[in-house]
Amino acid sequence: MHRSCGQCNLICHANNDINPDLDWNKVLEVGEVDGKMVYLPRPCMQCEHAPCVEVCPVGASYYRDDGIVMMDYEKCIGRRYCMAACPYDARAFNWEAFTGGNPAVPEWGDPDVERRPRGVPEKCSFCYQRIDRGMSLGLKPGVDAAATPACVVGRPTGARIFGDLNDPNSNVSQVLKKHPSYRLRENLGTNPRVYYLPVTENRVVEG
Amino acid sequence: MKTIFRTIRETIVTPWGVWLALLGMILLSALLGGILVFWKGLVITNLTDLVPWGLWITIDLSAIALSAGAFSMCAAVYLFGLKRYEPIARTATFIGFTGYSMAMMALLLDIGRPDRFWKSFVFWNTHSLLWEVTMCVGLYFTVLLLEVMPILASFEWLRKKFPRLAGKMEHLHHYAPVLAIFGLALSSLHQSSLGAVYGVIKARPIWYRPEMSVLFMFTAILGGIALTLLASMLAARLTSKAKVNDVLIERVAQFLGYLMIAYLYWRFWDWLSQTYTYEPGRTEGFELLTKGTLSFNFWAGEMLVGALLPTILLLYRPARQSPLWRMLAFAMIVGGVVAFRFDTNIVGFLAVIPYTPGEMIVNYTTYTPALVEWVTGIGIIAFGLLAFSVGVKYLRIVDHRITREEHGVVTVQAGEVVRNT
Repeated sequence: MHRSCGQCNLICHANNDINPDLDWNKVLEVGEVDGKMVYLPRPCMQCEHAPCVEVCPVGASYYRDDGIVMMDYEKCIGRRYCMAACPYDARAFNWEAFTGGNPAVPEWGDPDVERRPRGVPEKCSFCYQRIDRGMSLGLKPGVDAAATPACVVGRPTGARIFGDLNDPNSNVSQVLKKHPSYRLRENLGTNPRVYYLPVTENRVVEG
Repeated sequence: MKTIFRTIRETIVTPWGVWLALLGMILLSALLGGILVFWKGLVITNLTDLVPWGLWITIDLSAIALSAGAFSMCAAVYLFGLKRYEPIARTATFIGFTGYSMAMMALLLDIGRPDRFWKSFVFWNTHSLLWEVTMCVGLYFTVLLLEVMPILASFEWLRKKFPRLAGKMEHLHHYAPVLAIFGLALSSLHQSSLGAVYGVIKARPIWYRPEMSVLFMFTAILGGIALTLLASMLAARLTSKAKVNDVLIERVAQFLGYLMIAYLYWRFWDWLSQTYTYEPGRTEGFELLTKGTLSFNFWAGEMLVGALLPTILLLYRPARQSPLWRMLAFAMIVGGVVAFRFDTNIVGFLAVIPYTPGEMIVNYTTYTPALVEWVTGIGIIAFGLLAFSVGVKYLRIVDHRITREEHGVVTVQAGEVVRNT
């Protein structure tokens, strides 16, 4: 858990061209420790057994080979069963078209991905476009900033760690080996790939 | 001038004309509402990320449930050999066809991308219960279309203009038993899996229980038969075009009464099991039903008026034999089924289960359908009423004197009175 400056959410909106009314990466206030507010960022958990993938009638939600839960915005018919099924409220629906400029996008940059149309739900994709482009350039996600999700790179406080959980030597695997961690609604058996370090650790691990 | 007014008065200001005008006005405003929804998008509804399914889904679920008379009665007549109920099966088939059309209209309004509705038939995720429902509904609608052909063939105009086509359509009736098998299989699959759509959602504990599919199946058969009988009796009271055999209806009514006992039994144990131990989300949802905002719907709509009272009325012979009380009992069952579907859908959303660690604080959200949801929703119901009315007037869909030679004659037992013949 980290102290919120909202930077990760802002950079998420800029990179993924998200409507200011929607969030892929909500930062919640979850309580106070020693008089300081504690925040919990909630990206998509990229579950191993993702309810959204299981329930989508047309298969618009699917797993990538690396485990990222993806949305095929072209296939989606907007039935919203995934939204009813997601235990983490991680999906935001485009109730109306998002037109015009995006206040989160700075003048000197362009978003990485196409804006989603009206009538489909959208969600965090672990910035797959950054991972793919970075890896094609021979970079390592979690090590090289250009191959790592925007929210992890953009954090000024170092609250997020990203990497390959299948690689025992990656920084995420190492951190999780050394520190106790927890995940959200673990009892549901979804096996989320987002781990939280207890409040004293002040960090989130994504892998 | 005077004669023109008189002609207008005599031809249009009839009960039928007024009824058509009323339905026409409702349909027109619903059409405008529908255009508005397609144009502006779902933002004009009161649906939110927390309550993504609302009134339209309730109409969809209810229309499908209340169409279940078709497969139940067709199975009874063509598979279990209860031939004398064939005229009721005819009514039920027409209502089923109408109901599924209504459900599809509601769905078309509700999905975010109505222009992509065809994708649900092209792209398959066979693991999804909604895929199964989509497939079964699509296939069953085809079965209903074939089943309804012989009924459409009784349209006088069609018979006169295209006698050969009408004959061909009529001939489809020979396949009624085969169609009934397909109908039974497809219907029982998707009626129950519609419940499982909710029943498998682990994230919402109030839904997550195996009884959901059984309860959906039960309520579908109950509501479907009740609506068929209610509509038949009502039509026979309002127009001479509809003729019912009261004895036949009373028999089915008694069967329905016994079925209600079984339903109450299920509901009781389902209810009791949910009162044990605290489960975040489920307990709060259950309290919304029994004590909270949904308590009137639950106790009055689902339980007292929707289940208990009609059971008594249908099993207590003097009440059952009175057409008025019997009709009331059918109406109560129909209302109870709709209330059950509404409550079941909405309760899973209203209690918001937290995913944050630590304290288990369940939040509550609200949902009141927007005007445009009501206008279009009522329009869909008006479409159903219009289809049924036209069916009664021109297609003899409620006529218990109809018998088909190839399937034997309705046997009237000694002591039975065939009314209105």
